[in-house]
Amino acid sequence: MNALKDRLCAENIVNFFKSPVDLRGLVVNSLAHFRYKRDEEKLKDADRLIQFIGEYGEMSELLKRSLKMVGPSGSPDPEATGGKE
Amino acid sequence: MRVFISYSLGRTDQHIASLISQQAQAKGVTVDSTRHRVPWDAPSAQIISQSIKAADVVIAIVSRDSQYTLNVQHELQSAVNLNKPVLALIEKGATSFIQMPGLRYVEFDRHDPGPAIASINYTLESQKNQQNLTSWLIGGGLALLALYLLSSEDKN
Repeated sequence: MNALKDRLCAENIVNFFKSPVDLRGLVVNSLAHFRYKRDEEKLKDADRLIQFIGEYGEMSELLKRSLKMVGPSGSPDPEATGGKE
Repeated sequence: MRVFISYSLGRTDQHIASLISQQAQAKGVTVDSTRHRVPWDAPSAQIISQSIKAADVVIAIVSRDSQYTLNVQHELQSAVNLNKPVLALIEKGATSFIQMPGLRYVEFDRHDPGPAIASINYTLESQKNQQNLTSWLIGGGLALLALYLLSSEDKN
């Protein structure tokens, strides 16, 4: 058991808990951090965003313009696609 | 360009608000919001009202995970009173949110975001010839990003 603990500590980021409440807090924090990183990556993925919108309809020129302003790099360029308002 | 983001104390709402706030700032947009750590009272109302007054557009996020939306409602009421462009994303089933007069909001279903995307698009189209179209476009883009994150919640 000690060897396993040593190995886990050496190869991973570990947290220690003293009570079920401690453990709950640590799990919630770790999951929140994982979720944040995952969604942060998702927000940078222009292709995935375009695919998402495409699943539910055509992207209008105004939506393209708005994503060009605040969306991820690589969002569709309304001028490049010949779009007009 | 300055955006005010209003969101409830719900974990999901705070998470999404934080992400889109970060994205907006990365694009050079100034973001203002409240942390909702204090009960709504006169001094905080005044400060928030000033922030909303300074904003070009207000967006709001209320998911069905929200238990406490009183501050969001106050902020939205302020925005409506100040005649600010508002894009409020309210999830179907968010029972804590009470509809208010003068506010047109985008109702969404995280399993079927199509109608909400169409609603955002319709809102932008209806502002096409207005002088503050840029504010609406920024608000619409951020609302769309919030919807994208909320809608994919259960897919992963």
